Amino acid sequence: MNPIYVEAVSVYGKGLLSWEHAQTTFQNLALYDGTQIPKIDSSYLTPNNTRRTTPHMHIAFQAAEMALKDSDVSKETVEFIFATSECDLDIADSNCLALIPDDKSILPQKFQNVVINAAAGHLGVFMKNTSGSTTVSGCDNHFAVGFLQAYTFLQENSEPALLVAYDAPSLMRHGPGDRPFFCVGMVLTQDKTKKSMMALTPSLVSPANPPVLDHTDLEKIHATTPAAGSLPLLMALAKKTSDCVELVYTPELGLKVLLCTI
Amino acid sequence: MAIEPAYITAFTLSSALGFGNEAALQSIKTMKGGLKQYSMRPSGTTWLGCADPSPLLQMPSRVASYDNPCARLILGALLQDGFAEYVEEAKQRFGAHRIGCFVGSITSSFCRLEEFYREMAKIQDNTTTIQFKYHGSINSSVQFTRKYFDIIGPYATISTACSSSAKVFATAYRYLRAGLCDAAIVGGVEPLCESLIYGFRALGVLSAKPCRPWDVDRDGISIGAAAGFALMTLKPNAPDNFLLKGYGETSDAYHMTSPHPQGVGVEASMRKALRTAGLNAADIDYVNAHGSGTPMNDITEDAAICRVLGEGTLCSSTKGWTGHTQGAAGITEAIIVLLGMRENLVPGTLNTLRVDPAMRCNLALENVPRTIRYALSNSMGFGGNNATLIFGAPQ
Repeated sequence: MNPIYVEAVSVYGKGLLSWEHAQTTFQNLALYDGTQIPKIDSSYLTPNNTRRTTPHMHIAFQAAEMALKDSDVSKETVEFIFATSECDLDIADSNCLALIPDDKSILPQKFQNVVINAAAGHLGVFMKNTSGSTTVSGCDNHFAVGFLQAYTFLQENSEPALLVAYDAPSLMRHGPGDRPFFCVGMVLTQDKTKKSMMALTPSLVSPANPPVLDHTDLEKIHATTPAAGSLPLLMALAKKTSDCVELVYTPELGLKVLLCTI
Repeated sequence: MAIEPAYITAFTLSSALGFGNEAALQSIKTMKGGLKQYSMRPSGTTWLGCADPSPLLQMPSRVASYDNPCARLILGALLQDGFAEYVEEAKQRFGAHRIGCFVGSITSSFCRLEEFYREMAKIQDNTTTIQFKYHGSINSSVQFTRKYFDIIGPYATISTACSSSAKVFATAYRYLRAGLCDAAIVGGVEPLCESLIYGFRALGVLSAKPCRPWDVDRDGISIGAAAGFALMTLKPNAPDNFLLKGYGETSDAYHMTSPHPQGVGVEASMRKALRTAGLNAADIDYVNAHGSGTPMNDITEDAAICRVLGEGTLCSSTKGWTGHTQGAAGITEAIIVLLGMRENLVPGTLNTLRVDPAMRCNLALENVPRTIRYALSNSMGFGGNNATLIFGAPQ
């Protein structure tokens, strides 16, 4: 398996205000303060764009923009790989309720925004990105699924990839349960660049040995929010030393990622 | 640079044309489409392509938790054309952990969740819940398929609106090439779902008549249900394996629901697919267009096809036969292409009577007997998401 290279990272979650802040926190977990909530300040959220989109998408925009800001890749040509557990379930709930009365009146905007690739679609328009865009889901393990999607893309293509994995809480009563918001962005390349931080080589291993984080609050987020399945990898990246981590993939298979300094 | 081809060792399609490849082929050969009139609420009509497996279908106990119209549609499809036997053979050969599974869908089992909301509203029950992971989750289709075959290899749900199950071919190809699996089940499923029917009505693109791609009077889509699956490997297992020769994936960067007015995104997707296939425009014998039947889609795609392939390449849209099968459209049309290759037949563009004089591509209205060496299939979806596949006949 050939490695891929991580050029930039962003993270957005309770107590993780930015990648810079997260790195400091991961190096000293005693600093973690889950009451700190980062602000969404994506420049793509103009009043018009904010009206057209939903909070579920906004965290994805934030992570994408923050990762690209620290990278040299072109936002017009970077391949999009978005990963999320489900669509915006608040809209899905609203559409299901709209289908109960006989007029079955779904609002056009709620229809277009219920598709799972809505966040990537809107952001592609905002960024004028003409490359391929793929939104994947792997339910509770979508970070690992998205990471493999990016990895396999980069084995065949020299264009860089923007991986964004995100989850937002939903009020849908029948949904998968309460999931705190969490979002991670990564700019990944096939070849080493001036800004490459680490080389990453994944492989599927059996039996799975699911990781448990050595911090109660972070482990709670890790265990309940699929995008936070990225936390073991983020924590290893923050250490800036060669390492090996396992990400949750399926009950039978783990996704082992070998990190090498460059 | 051209890619190494992948091989399609088995495939099956279930749609409004019937369950299994033979049913689809017979419908096309006899010019009998699958769309039926449907009464909308509170008023109006549209035409839908229904695909209902027998209600008597037995859901095996290992997947009984998934029992809903989506899972039944998948199961009905998997039982056709010896597909399950081909998967079993691959499993024996490579091992359950070496079989990947990649399924494209927009709504998956969401239709059951919609139904549940209506049932609960009717009896004013606010307490009963439903198991979302089986009846609502986008991932239920891929997990059902994996569980049904008892495979544990890599997997993903691809959800890029109407290009979803075209993109599964590209995703599976890359997983195979990366050595993460030795065979990959690729599929697409879309049961009928009110969110789609009434959502497209809200957008003003649902036709009251059977859809008429490229027609001067075309006024929108007809929605269809379908499930299709194919088995891919990097090594052929028989001389009659079809080839995945190339693929292209691009974005319009223009609008969430409208295609780029000049079709530059789909043009770039076709050019990428030709490049990866190592083919020239003249090599393409048939184009299965996205051809949804909306005024904007068809004119922009027509222009893009003519720029890339010229005005002579035989094209058709098969959505008049099956309806627009949404997240399953990519694989529905891929399999229609493969059947056309097998039978030396370009399917016509059903329901289209008067081709829009603004259109320039060489549209087949009737079925045309024709040897197809290479065929190109376009899929376009919300978010300006484009995918093009190029298939080759057995060599």
